[in-house]
Amino acid sequence: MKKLLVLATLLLSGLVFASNDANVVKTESLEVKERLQAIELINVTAEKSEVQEIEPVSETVVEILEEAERVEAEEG
Amino acid sequence: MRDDAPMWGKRIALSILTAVVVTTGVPALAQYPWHAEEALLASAAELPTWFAALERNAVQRREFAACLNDASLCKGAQKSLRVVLVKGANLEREDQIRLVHRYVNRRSYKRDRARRELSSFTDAVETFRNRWMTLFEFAKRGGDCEDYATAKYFLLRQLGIPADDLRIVIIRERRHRAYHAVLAVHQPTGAIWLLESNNVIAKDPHRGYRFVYAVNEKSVWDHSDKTG
Repeated sequence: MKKLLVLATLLLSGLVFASNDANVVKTESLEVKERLQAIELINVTAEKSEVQEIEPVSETVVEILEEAERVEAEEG
Repeated sequence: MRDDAPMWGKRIALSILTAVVVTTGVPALAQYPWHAEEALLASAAELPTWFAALERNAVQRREFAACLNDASLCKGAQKSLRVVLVKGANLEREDQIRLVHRYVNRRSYKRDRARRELSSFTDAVETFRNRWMTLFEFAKRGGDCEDYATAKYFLLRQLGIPADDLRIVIIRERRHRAYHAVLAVHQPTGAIWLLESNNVIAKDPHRGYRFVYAVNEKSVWDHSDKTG
């Protein structure tokens, strides 16, 4: 009888732990889903602020930028 | 009517969560929390609109390979993209970043139009105002702030900078009460550069920025809380 009681207690505790774990996983995955959904609906709308030239660039970079601008302006 | 009740309840709850999580809960940090492991939220594949842009970009990049190999096959904006990629390949990493930063910032600004689409999260039609563009779509049509950051991301990836060093970061601008996007670059020195769409490169510290979330081709990070 005592053995049966101990066995039943162990079984019940196991079930309680298992169900708690399942709840944790479910809650966490639901939270992740909701946060992802909230992220998807964020409206990124800030206007581009005035272009500044405060970051110096090397001569080579300037030459490449000029060439890029020139080829894009070409016909075709 | 009764059937709609749970959906409306869910929408209201989501709106409240969005408002609370992404506005009031956003901590102001002195530096972008690159190493905040608790901010890692999910894989990029779990953010459908962003993941779709990544897939489109991969397809368009393969199509662009012909132009990259032979300049005579390039059309329109492809020509300047080719120059940046071919000539930029020989530059030092910092010059590559500055080249891409300047090149992209010269493109024309074009605001996204709101559209109604089926959400894969709710299975309901929602209003989306963001459209993630690929590098090639942006080069052709221009775009708004997240598209500047995305175009820089794709260009720097194509120039060989590892995905682990790049993130598109959405920030909350308190002054304009709007969301804005920058490209964050993790430098080998440990410094983090934030590439703005107005040619500014914000180096540490990043005072005045309120980071909301970040993405790259691998992951999504949620900075709205837990990272402060």
